[in-house]
Parts: sequence; structure tokens; C-alpha cells
Amino acid sequence: MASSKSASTSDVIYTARLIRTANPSRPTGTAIAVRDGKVLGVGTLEECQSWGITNIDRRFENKILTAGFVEAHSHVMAGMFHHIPYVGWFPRMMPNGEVIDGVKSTEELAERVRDIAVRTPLGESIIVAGFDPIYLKTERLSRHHLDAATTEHPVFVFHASGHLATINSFALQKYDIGPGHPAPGVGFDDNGEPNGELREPAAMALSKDEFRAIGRLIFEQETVVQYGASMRNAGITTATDLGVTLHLNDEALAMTVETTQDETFPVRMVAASRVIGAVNDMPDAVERIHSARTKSHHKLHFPIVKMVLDGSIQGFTAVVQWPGYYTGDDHGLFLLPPEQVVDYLRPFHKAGIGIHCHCNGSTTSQVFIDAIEQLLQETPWLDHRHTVTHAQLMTHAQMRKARNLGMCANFFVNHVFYWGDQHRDITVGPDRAHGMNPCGSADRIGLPYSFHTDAPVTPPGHLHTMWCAVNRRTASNQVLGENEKISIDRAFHAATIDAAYQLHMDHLVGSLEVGKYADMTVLDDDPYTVDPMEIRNITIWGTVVGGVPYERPVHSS
Amino acid sequence: MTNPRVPTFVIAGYLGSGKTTFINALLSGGATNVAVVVNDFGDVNIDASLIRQTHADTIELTNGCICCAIGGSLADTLFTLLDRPTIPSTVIIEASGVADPASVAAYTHISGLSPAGTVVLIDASEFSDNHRNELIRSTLERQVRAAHLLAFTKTDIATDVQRNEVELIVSALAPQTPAVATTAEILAFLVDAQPSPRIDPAPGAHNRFSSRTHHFSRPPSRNELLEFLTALPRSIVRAKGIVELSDGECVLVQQTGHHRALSAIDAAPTGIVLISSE
Ligand SMILES: Nc1nc2c(ncn2[C@@H]2O[C@H](COP(=O)(O)OP(=O)(O)OP(=O)(O)O)[C@@H](O)[C@H]2O)c(=O)[nH]1
Ligand SMILES: [Mg+2]
Ligand SMILES: [Zn+2]
Ligand SMILES: [Zn+2]
Repeated sequence: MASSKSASTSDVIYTARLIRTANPSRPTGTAIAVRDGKVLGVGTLEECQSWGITNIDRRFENKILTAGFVEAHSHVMAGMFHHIPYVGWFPRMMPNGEVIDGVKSTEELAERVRDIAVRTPLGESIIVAGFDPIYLKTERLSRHHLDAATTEHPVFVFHASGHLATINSFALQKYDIGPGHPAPGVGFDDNGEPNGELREPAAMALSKDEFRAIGRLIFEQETVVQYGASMRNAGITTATDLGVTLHLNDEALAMTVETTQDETFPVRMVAASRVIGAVNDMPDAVERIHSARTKSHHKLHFPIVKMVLDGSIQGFTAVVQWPGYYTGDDHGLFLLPPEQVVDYLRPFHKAGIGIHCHCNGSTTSQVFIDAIEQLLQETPWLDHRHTVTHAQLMTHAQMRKARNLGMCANFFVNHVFYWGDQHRDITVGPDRAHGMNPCGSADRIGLPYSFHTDAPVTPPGHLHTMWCAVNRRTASNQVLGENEKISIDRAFHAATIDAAYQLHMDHLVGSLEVGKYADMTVLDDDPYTVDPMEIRNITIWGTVVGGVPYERPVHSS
Repeated sequence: MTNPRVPTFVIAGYLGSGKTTFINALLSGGATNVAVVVNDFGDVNIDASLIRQTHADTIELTNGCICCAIGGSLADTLFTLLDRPTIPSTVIIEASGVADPASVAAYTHISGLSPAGTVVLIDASEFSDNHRNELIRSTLERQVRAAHLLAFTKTDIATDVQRNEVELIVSALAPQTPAVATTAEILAFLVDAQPSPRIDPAPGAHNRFSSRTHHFSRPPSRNELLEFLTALPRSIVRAKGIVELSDGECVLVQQTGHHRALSAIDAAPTGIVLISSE
């Protein structure tokens, strides 16, 4: 019997080889009916047609449709790599769909720079990014390699770690950096000559024009546009920009509202304001978030705030509990006084704004969890879902306590692949490295969690995070943390509905359930049935957001 | 050609150690054309006259998270400051209470600035208690080690026991670093280093300060100037002034505790103000 509700012309049914809904009461189907951009029903074609819909779109007949992937921790900055040539080790897809080959030696890097130099006016800066020497077997990059590319342009190579840049002799001269330069972070060779290395942003800033050029890209509209495109290409339908200052910047807010509203913008965005300033600025920040919320629309949401408590593990700046780091100097750094955390967070908690806190180290995880405990005692909120993000070294005691308090974790599981070997051998040693980003234990304990890529830190996309969580392979193809492996079913839920949950967005996105947005990731193969080692290699067609297909451009080279 | 570089101080010290109080004393004491950059948690504000929040200038600050390592850093704020039509004659950066002063001071080398020293404030009434707190001990120790000049504050409310404890801890951590007991006004006097009559010691403290101005009988060579500065007694905690060298060049001498910088300057010689603490 056809539904009494009259079908509208915009209604559509998509058929598929298989639909995975992330809705446990109806986990699969072969057709989905969409009305007003929302899920009307998932099931068989006949079931969908029973709504009286005749408009059947069969373009996905041979594809797998899944509940759209939700990225709960990335940065809009990922979009700016469109403007800066990519020179990393791994091949990377640009927002326009073009795949750039990896750079496998310093000579190859010089060649790339030379190619750019021939079409760059003399004296103009050449900036490239993503260089990743950690995987190179060749000689350490110095100004001499870059001088081989050009002696008539300043060259600035921004490394993937974000902590290092290498510049050429032309740039060294331009900024008067010679032997004995007193700034910390300037590298010298055995003869006392600068070797072109600039460590940490303070030293990178010596290369003033290039450093500023990179910084300016962050608030450009094109960066937001490209961010959206790269998320679509990665199959993400809801992406979080975790740590923006839009609430403090009316112009950037207006630009973001407008850009994301455009029909061509392919992704739903969660903008999480960053907690910055002095403690007594926080009530004002709450007001500003409330005011930003009045500008939200179906593709822009402001449900949470982000706070940063420490640095990174590979930078030795995460604050780690006893016995500290395995090798290297402990530069563990609180970004604000631990006793003030609770004062910073109180106004947000009281206002019902979810809190995601960057804690890489175990000490900072503890400080955050303790602060939440105190806030809950002061102001009960049964549904806060406050989240430890990165959460890489959370201990089991911390996970149990976080569970009891109603918190979540967002694991940086890509670390297992990208830096797992280094964590085992250098930063935290074998025992803790096996237990990093402990998805398996979180399941045993019952702590809700999601994964993130922290794009641009690692490339966006949940096929890769799921692959990491299921296989736990490092870059050298060794298993790191056999007992923390999880099933593909758990991984899929972490990448969809559980991510939506910690964003307070699970009533809108994260699963294909009647009344929620018809957001889907379109894949060539089923992550549940391919060889688990192949999950990350599944081809992504693109996405469907609010019922509208957004195809990844296919670049034929 | 060398452009004159703006001397830039880093004022650091744990939460509530008196950094803002000191900067306000400096500004209200008549120091002119001073730009203050307040580096709160994840945030940088510029204000040339008073310390207050100006959201228009709010820019995210670099931190250990890679994702935040570029753009919106302290460097950008400082560049913006130097882009302004009037360039300040002094820049003061108030570091956040947990900042590693050395990593903040690293920014004072950027084009247009010249490092003038890192002053770390130590709250004499709180430090020894805080130092017992394992969570923050390494933060405090890092701050003490990064100082060129250590200034004890709140000696008026510290007990004798607290004062003795803090002196012991600090001198063990940084035995070579000059340490003085101050009030906000004394510290302002030290940093501004204008010729001034004697200053009374901070309550509860024994440091007595005096200043005098040294004029060279004839322009010294750069080496002679360096020898002169090196030979100064340890009691000299601050030296500042413009000296004409024998080759006709003028240099600005900035010595703060055991930090020394000479930078080219296009201004008339003033002699060197020497402040000693006994
Ligand atoms: N008794 C006494 N109180 C002082 C002294 N110096 C500062 N204070 C007080 O200590 C408190 C904190 O001083 P601030 O100048 O705000 O300290 P701060 O280092 O800027 O603090 P943060 O920026 O929050 O890290 C204020 O209430 C000051 O009035 C002092 O020498 N003696
Ligand atoms: Mg202050
Ligand atoms: Zn991040
Ligand atoms: Zn982070």
C-alpha cells in the first residue's frame, strides 16, 4: 500500500549493491528513499517505492553506500595545501582529485623545486610543504640540495612534522642568517655555516615573507572551499574544524557561513571554537558561541569547543606520566596551568557546550578527566559527552573513570601507521606503544570512542583510520598492539555514529536512520568483506550529502 | 644596511607572579612608546598603552600541536606590530604563566626585533608550595633556568621561611643567574633603566638598588666596550645606554642579568646607565 503522504518531485530513491546504515536495528539494505534531504527509509527497492516515489536513481547500483563518515577532529588549514605544492613521501590526493606522487629522495625534491623555479619570476618565494625525511634513506636535506634547484629564488621547504623548515642559500642571505646567528633553532653544519634548517616556528619566522605567506592562507575563502573538496574526496560527509577562532572574528565567521551554505559546498561542517585568552574571557566566549549558533544552518554547526592542554608525543611536548619518555629529552609542556583547567571550562560546561580537549599525554588526560569530575559535581549534566581528543596514551584507569563520568575518547589511531615504529623505538618504548590509541581496551571497558586524522597532520579519510584500527600495522608493516585490534564493525561505527555522538550530532548524522540527513559515503567495495588489509585501498566515488551526490573528480594523468 | 631593531623583553613567571602588575607599573611610571604583547593561553594580544583584551588583534598562538604550528603565531603578532606606522621603542612580551620563557624568547630574534633579556618573576610567597606540586614542578624549574634575571615578588607577604626556601631552590637551579627582590616599581625601574636616584628595597627584602651613568672619556672600540661590560661587578643587574664607538657607529647596549645584546642604532649617545643591587 502506498503511503498517504504525497510524494514530491524532489523525492528520490538510490539503489545500491549494499547500503550499510550504522543503524543496528536495520543494518543493511539495497535502496534508500530520500525526501527533503533526509532519510525516508532504507530497505528493499519495493519498500522504498511504497512511499509512492517513482524517481529511481540507479547510478550507485554497483556501489556500496555507507552511513557518511564523520571526522571529529581535523583543521580547515588542510585546505591550504592546495595552494602549496605537496612534496611528501606518500602519494597524496589534491582537492581537485589529482594524485601527487610521493617524493622519495632529496634529489627528487630538488627536481620538483627546479620545475617550479623555471616558471617563477626571479626573486619570488618558492614554498613547498609536506616533506617527510623520516622515511628517506638519503642524506639529510640541507640548503645545498635546494641550491641545486635554484640560486635565484628563496626556497622554503615546510616539513610534514610542522616543526622544521629548510631554506636555501638565497633565503639565508636574504634574511642575513650567517655563521653564529644567535636565534635558537638555526641549524649549522660542521664548518659553522648555517645548513638551512630552521627548527620550530620561532626560527621559521626568520624567513619572514615565506612564513607569513603560509599563515595568511588560513582565513582565505579558497582554503575553506578546498577543505570541503578534500573532505569529499576522502568520503567524509561531516567534518570538524577543531579549534577555530571564528567566534572572535566576525569577518571570518561571515565568510564561513556563506561558503558552507553554498550548494556546491560538499560537506557538513562542525566549527569548534578554541578556548583561548584569559580565564575571565570565557563567559564572553560562551556568549559569542551562542551568537555564532544563531548563524548556523544545516551545513554549519557549533555544538562544541576545543581546548588544548599539551603538545605532541613525537615532539616530546606531550605531558606523560611516570616513567616519562623512553628516549630523548622530556619537553612536556602544559599549555595552561593545570589548576586553572577547571576555571577555563566551567562557563562552557554550565552553558551546555560540549568540550573536546587535546590531550596527547597521560598526565594531561588525567588533568582533564579530573576537571570534568569536579565540574560534574558542581553542575550535574548527564549528557555532556566531553571528549578526550588524541587520547593516545590514556591508561585503563583513565578510561574506566572517563566511562563512569560519561566522557568519550577520540583516538588518533593513524599514529599506529605513521609514527608507530618511532613510538615503539624512540618516544614511549614497546610496552606503551602497543597500547597506544587503545580501541580494543576502550571496547572492553565500554568507553565510547571515535577516530580522527587531524588533517592536515595525516591525510583525511576514515578508510585509513579503520584500516589502522583493524590491522594495527606500522609503516614498516609490523603489528603494533595485537590486543587493541578491533572488528571492522566496531571501526565502522567509530567512524560514523560514535563520532556523531561525541559531537552532539547523532540525532542529525552518523547513521542512515529515518529523519536524519541522507549523508552517505559512496565506495566501490564493502569494507566488511574485502581483505582487511585492503580496506584503505577501496576506491571512493565521493559522497551524498543531504541527498545530493558530490562526485570526487577523477583525474586522468 | 642594518635597520634598527626594537629591544624586546620577555617577562615570564608562574600564574599570578606579578607580571601584569609590573608591566602596568612600567607604563604608568612614564615609559613611553612601549608595546606590550600579552600571550595568554593560546592567544596573543597587542596593546601599546594598556594591557587589555582587543579581540581585533586576537590571533591564535603556536603550541606544541603540529596542527597549530603555523599561522597565527606569536611571530605573526609581532610582525603585525612592526607593520604599524609607528614602531615602538621597546617591546615587552608577557608570557603566559606556564610558558617556557626560552621558547617565547626565541621569537625575539625575528626581523625587526632584538632580544633584550628574559626576566622571570618568582612569587616568593607561593613558589616553594608550588614547587612541591609534581604537576607543575618541571614548568617552574624550566622557567627559572630560562631566566637572565630572576626577580622575587611579593616579598611583602612572604614569610621568612618561604623566602629562605625559595632562595635555596632557585639558587640550586640557576646558581649563575642574578636574583633580586623587587616590587613592581623596582622592576619597572630596572627594565626602563632611566637614570634615577636611589630606590628603597622591597618590603621584607634586603636588596638596595642604586643607579649611575657611565660616560666613556673617549669613544671605545667595540672590543673595549665588551671588555668594560664583562668587567662589571656581579652586583650590576642591569645596564642600558647608547654608546658611540671609535668607528663612529652608535650601538644600543642592553644588559639584563647575564644577557647582553649590542645592536646598531641611529640615535645620540647617552652613556650607560648601570644599576646595581647590593
Ligand atoms: N602583596 C603583593 N601582591 C602583589 C605583588 N605583585 C602583584 N601582586 C598581586 O598579585 C596578583 C597577581 O598579579 P598579576 O600582576 O596579575 O600577576 P600575573 O603574573 O600577570 O598573573 P597571570 O597573568 O595571571 O599569570 C594581583 O592581585 C596583584 O595585585 C606584590 O609584590 N605584593
Ligand atoms: Mg598577567
Ligand atoms: Zn588537531
Ligand atoms: Zn591537537
